[in-house]
Amino acid sequence: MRYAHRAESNYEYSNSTKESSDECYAAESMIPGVNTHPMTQIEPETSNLKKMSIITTTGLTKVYNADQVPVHALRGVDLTIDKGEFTSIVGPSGSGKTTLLNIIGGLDEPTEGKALIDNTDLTTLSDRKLINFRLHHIGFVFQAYNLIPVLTALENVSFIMQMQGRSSRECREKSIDLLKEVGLEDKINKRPSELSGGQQQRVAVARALASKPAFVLADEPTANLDSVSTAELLDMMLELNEREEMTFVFSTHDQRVIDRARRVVTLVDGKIDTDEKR
Amino acid sequence: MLYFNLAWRNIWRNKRRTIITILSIVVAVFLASVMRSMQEGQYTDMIENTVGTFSGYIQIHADDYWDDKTLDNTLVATDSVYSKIQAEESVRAVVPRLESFALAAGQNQSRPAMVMGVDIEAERNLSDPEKRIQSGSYFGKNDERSVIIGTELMQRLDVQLGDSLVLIGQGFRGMSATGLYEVKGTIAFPNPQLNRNLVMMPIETAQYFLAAEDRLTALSIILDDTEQVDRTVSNLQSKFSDDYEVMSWETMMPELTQTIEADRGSGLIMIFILYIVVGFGILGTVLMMITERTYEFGVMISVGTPRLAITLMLGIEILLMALVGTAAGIVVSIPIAWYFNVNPIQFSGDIAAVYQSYGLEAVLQFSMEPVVFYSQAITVFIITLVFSLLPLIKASRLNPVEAMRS
Ligand SMILES: Nc1ncnc2c1ncn2[C@@H]1O[C@H](COP(=O)(O)OP(=O)(O)OP(=O)(O)O)[C@@H](O)[C@H]1O
Ligand SMILES: [Mg+2]
Repeated sequence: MRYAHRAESNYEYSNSTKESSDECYAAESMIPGVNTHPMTQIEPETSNLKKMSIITTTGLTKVYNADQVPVHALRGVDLTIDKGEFTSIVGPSGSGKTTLLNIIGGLDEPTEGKALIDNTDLTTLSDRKLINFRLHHIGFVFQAYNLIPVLTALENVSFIMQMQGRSSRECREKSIDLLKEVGLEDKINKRPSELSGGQQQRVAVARALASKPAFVLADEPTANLDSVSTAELLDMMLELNEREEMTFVFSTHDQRVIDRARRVVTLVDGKIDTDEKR
Repeated sequence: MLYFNLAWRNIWRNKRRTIITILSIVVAVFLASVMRSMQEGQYTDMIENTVGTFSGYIQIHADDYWDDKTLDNTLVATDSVYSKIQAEESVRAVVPRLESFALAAGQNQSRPAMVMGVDIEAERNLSDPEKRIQSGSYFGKNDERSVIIGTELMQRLDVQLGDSLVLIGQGFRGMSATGLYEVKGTIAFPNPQLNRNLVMMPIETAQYFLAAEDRLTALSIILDDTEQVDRTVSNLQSKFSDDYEVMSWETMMPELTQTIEADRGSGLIMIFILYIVVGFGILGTVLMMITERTYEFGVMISVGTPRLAITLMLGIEILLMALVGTAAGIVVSIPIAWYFNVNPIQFSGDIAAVYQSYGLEAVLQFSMEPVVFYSQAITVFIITLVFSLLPLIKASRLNPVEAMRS
């Protein structure tokens, strides 16, 4: 009975190649907790798209109460990021970059203030809805070990789409396209352990794009890379930004990365010190 | 399918840990079921020793005989009684007996004795005396003045084969009973009490000695299938309720059932300890498996994997290992139990003495009852799942930021 409503995708599955069947056998109804339909989004007028803000934080504060002594990681951050921006968050260690990105990414809650992400106030969402929101609206690239070790590059990318409940053929085709885009078409069946750090980060970017997110968040994506891989990853991100208008928000310590950002937001002591657009 | 695939690959990812986890399940099922097989085998032996080869699983007596074992409470078994019993499907043989007490006197010594009149032929189905003869020989056709006595009784009375033995007692309805018999042989049972007391004679001789012509103290019933005891008892009870009492071995010998139950209980405590040890072993490996992958779960939850999916994936991993482990546990237990079922362990020395003091043969035959094995497999399976539950819940509740900071 459970399968009845997906007769269509079954049909697709039986028509697809054998490889794709075990690579990308996504059954929307078999994935627990996943809302098959992306969260209803308030679609803005196309004409507004250029100036539409994707991220708006107002008065964000974050206080950690770890060892009795409260740590003020953020002390009132007001930040607006529009669609298509290529923003670097910089600042000394401990200035609150990760904390800010975590709140923007719906991974952590602010102590005070609001984060309006893709027209949704994240503080109003339950944990389950928040996970589903992240799946559909945000692409994540972490510093390292982004990928699921037992899955190949292709499977890591299509995993996200499978969870979104997309058809198996679409998952496979789209994943291959994305891996081509990040220059890894010859590595699609490699596991993370068989890829270099730079290649892994590129797969992570492909995965982040797989969900068709509103923006991609990356906390120090190049921290573990050598200078060549760093340059390559950045080229790729910039190209995606220009060609696809994909919004990137990333933190970094690397001056060469900062130099290429279109907008540099500097945090000092949990506050925005400078905000420079180039 | 997606999460099954993930679970499947994760199982192969750390082969060593998977093997250790499965092995601990295998060992648990193995130890538990071999131990239970040994115990149940022992109980079957105990019942077989006392019931199967001596009293019979069912006995029919005159009303009140079991509470007041006198010759006045004896019955006369007519052909119709026999045919009514034999009409029961599971009945293989009916063995009549006449038992009483008397004083046995040799030339120099006298001892209390249990006189047991047996049907020479029918008795082969029950205690099979001919096999237990230690010296001399079993009854033949013209042995109406012969007796076979317990080995120890023979020593105590200080008599030899061929010597005469005087029995003095009380017969049916208080008649005095005396008789002079020839010792034809000696017999030994696992039960030492019998060896000290038993004077066996053909049933007609006993009836004549006790002035109880045609009378019997009991009809022992031998069944093809010991599982049928309760049903046969109730059938026979409805046939004979007016005149006779029909008793199963469990009602005749409640102390035997109690002994077995008590022993089973103490065995359970040992198995319970084993379960706990295994449970915490599983808890440890599953916790380790989850701790090792905490960062990965953090990433998965961050990018939008539902918590339920993490639970499902880990659940499948544990389920698969538990299934393989319990199945393999049964597979390795059966040959061992089977070996000791076919080649029972024979005890000697002190252990044998202990067995004999309980009236048991000093052998240990393992049980091959299927329930012994699958019940242990199911129990260990459930224990594995139960002890995995906590780490599993812990994994699904991870805070992604904290998980990724580790
Ligand atoms: N979970 C936590 N518990 C307590 N204090 C925390 C926690 N997370 C962060 N902090 C503190 O909050 C402050 C900001 O931390 P955060 O990680 O955001 O800095 P960052 O700018 O990302 O630093 P880095 O450049 O070293 O990554 C630091 O003082 C840090 O010690
Ligand atoms: Mg940081």
